[in-house]
Amino acid sequence: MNKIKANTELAIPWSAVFIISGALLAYEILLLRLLSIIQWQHLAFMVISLALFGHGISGVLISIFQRCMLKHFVLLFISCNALFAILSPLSFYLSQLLEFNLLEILWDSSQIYRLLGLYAVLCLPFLAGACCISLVLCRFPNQIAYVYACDLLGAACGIALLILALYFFPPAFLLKALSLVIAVSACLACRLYRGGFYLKMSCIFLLMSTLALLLSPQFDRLQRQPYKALSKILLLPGAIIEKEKHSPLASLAVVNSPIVPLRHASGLSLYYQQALPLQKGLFIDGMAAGVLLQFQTDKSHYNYLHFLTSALAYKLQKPKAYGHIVLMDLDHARLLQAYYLSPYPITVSEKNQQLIKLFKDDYSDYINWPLLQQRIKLQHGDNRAFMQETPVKYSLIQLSMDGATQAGTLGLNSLSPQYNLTTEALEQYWDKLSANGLLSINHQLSLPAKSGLKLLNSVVNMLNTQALSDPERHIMLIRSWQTASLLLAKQAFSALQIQQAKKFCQEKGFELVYYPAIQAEESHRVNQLLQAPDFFSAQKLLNLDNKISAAEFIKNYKFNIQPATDNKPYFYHFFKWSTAEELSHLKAFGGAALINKAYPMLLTTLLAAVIFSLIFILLPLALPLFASVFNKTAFISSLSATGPGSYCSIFFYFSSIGFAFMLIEIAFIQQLVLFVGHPLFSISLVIAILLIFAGIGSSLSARLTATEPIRQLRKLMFLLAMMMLCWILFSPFIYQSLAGLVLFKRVLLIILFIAPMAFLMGLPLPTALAILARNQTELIPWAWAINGCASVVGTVLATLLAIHLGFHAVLLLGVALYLLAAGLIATITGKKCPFKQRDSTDE
Amino acid sequence: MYGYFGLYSLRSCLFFCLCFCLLLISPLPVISQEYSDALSWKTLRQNMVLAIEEDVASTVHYINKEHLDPRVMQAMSQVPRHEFVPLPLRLLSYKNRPLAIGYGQTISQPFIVALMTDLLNPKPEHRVLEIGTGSGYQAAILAQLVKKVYSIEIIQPLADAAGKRLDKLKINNIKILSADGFYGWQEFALFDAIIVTAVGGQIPPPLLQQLKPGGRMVLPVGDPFSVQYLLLVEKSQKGELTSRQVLPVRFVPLTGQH
Repeated sequence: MNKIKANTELAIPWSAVFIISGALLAYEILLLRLLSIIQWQHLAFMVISLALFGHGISGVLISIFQRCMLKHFVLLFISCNALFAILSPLSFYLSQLLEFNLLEILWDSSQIYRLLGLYAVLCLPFLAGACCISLVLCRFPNQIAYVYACDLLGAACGIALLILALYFFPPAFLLKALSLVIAVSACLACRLYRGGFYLKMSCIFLLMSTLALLLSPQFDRLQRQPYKALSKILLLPGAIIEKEKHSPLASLAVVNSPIVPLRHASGLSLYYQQALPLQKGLFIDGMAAGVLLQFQTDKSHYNYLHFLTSALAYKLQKPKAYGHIVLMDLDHARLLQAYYLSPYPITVSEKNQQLIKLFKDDYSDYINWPLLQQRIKLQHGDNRAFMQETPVKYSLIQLSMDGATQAGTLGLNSLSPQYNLTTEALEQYWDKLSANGLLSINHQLSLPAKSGLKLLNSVVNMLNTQALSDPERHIMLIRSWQTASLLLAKQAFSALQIQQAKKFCQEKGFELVYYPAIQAEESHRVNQLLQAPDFFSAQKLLNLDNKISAAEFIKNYKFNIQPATDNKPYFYHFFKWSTAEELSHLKAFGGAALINKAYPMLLTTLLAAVIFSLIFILLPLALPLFASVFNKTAFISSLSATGPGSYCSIFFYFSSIGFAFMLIEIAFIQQLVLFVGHPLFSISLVIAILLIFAGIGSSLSARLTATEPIRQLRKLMFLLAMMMLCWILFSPFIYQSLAGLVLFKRVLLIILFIAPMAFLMGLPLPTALAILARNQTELIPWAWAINGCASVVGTVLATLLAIHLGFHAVLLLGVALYLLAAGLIATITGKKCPFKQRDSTDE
Repeated sequence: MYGYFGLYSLRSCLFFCLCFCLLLISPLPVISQEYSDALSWKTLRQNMVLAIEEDVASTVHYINKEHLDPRVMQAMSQVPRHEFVPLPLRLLSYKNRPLAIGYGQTISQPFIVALMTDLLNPKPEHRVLEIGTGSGYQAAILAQLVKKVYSIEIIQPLADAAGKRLDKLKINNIKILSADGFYGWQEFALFDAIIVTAVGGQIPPPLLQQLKPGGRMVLPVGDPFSVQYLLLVEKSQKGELTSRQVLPVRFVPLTGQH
């Protein structure tokens, strides 16, 4: 009945598969960049994870219409390829027209529909591209391992080339270029298959349409969210983007506002009554990221730097002692503060090379870099890696938490690992302090206190591991109306230092929240907090309150203020289920800001992913039943498993390996941020390693499992489990030994550790597909769809599990699922159903 | 075979039509002027005021008041908020929620408007400065309560639209200027109260200087759709400045009786 005629003359379109696979992944990363610029980075991650449903849907479509689709393979392959070319820029353009606004999601139900529209529109190019791959997989089942390998290797090349290109070209331009590359692959396929006149003409027409779309000026404009800081600042009369730099990490914009001067000085004392020096605004992905201050020969212009809470650290330094200051992350105002308020050499650790170039080259004259560099050294790299490798002991370490303030207020940071603020990071800073050293951590005030209390709790936790007799004597806490600074001293604060702090706060109008032996009446004098006075919270966290212990306070606090660790580095995750209901009721009473939007969105995304996955997976099973009821089975292909048991086995096998691959991939991506220093490097590195080595594994899978494939696969999965356990056990030590090395060596060693695991992870899918190809070819697209859907759910689930259980648990779960799949592989095939007749192409 | 597909296509079409209708209906994007006028705005306004009073009752512990100033509530019930809202969103104008007015700006949640106005402690003889006119709604509320309101808006189209709107409503005690609000309005200083609807890192020193001794300044901190807290700056008779952060909601961060 479901006969598929083999066409042995048809060649596999290797070049097109390679290009499309590469383009699919390049498009994913490019969308991540583009959506980060116009929307918010973490929202972009969620939108794209769901848009990847395109892969699953392509499998479902081919499952349902496989006879028809495989019969018209050439036409469909070229059409989907051409559609992918057109849709890749068009979908992004349409997504901008939807004007989704995350900030309004609590108030406006239409935003939910807009978000769904965003998912749907962005899903289309992935669907078109994935259809090409699925068609080839199903059309050439006897070459499945090689096609899968080509797919993975193409994807790896795609991501590598895109990352490289992002250093040289803006993302909007690359979107056009990518579209053209895909269109060229459609032409190549057309040439390969010697398409007829009409097919060729259609192809030329589609290519022309793509070109016409790309030349349209609409595609050059990125419509940023009107509520992002950059959009708002550009509304000022005369304000322009003076300089724009793009890199895979971020898009950097420098804004000059000649008519209305910019006046950024977060948390500046009410007592400062002078004008601020001239400045240019600095924006990263459209969010405020500090300023560039024009050099002034008259030092009095910089007096305002004394009126920030972060200045306290300089007032408490011992003047005649040896000093060396380190600043985490480059911020011109804090840099000048260190320069003018202390005489010591300064080192700045910054991971964004473009930002460093901006200081050293583009705006060197504006900020007078030649003068500053006499005492300041800019170090490119990650803060943790820098701390690990530096031999210097510092008299002051300044850390700022107010980088992505806007994302912070949205709660979007809660889904992003913050390795700078984990207990292990604080231990590292502590170790690098000189005998009289100070660690100063500055952050934006939140009300009720969340990040401030979590930070204090993390510090207390770290100090408790240092075997200090009186940890509470090493802490000091002050705040202004908008910012707060926590100071941690290697030696207990002296009476003189306490006097200096009191004087500083009195002169500048700041509030002393905590110092050793503070009395209640000394707090809340200038900047009063009506709710949740932080003085009392600090007392409780430091176990200085007789009524309630610190543990009880943390347990009873309505936000999660447990310290973050390297295994669970989600510092901004404050969500507690016990408070969720109360907070949701407070929206109407002015409490909308209390509600974290990111975590519920993650849960909603997961729920949507599960529901859609089930629908897509069940559809190929249900549709033929309907078709047979209505006796309309001409186009609908019925699947041919050997019974419900086998359906279940196939479902569990392919969903297990889909989940497992993504759980391990996401856990590696998040964990390796610590090793390589930036999320985007981590994403690129992990995906590239996994794809290349899984691709090699896939291409060799036929040989490795030639005899007794089931037994061989089980052995190899057991080996994978052993390797993963070793990684989990030894990764903290591996990190410590790698951190001192240069990035190139670190990357090489990471490849050495992960590549064997990636190689083994490439085996289960092609092995099982090859088993299906022997006697159940029709099930290949369904299996592909299950795997695709599980990958989407796995991506979102991995983040959720990592927040609650940590990366080690996620990796363990991934391995457990691979072992489960190894156990199930024997059940995915069986005797043919007597009432089904099939011919597979390789029989 | 085509029959099945016909049926399938028909179902799909119906499904997509249904989705499309839902999309159209749910946000209520276009409400005709005639329909808007037919609704009883006054009733909606009264309902909004009742809702605010209920909210205040639950927040009473924190704002140290049994209820907001009755004059403020009276003003809230008099000013036609729907006139300050873009036409497509008019039906939502009396919902207790913020609404987008374009240019990245919003008209604040009515509860927040009432609370901020109350924190200013407005008196009939007062002269108030507002930085960030926006739609003009906050100025219109203040105009009901004080002698004169001076409002500065940096975005020219917003300032022009607000001016026309207030003229149409015959609210004559508001003076609007399109300029940089940082410098305040020296010509008419000193002010009894100042309200700043958009604040950066620095509270503008000229504004603090233009605040009368004994005067109050209120600033919302947070994003346009959710105010994190309100900052109340008070200037004593001696000219000393103190600030107070007010969470606009009843929320005890600890469970139990601690």
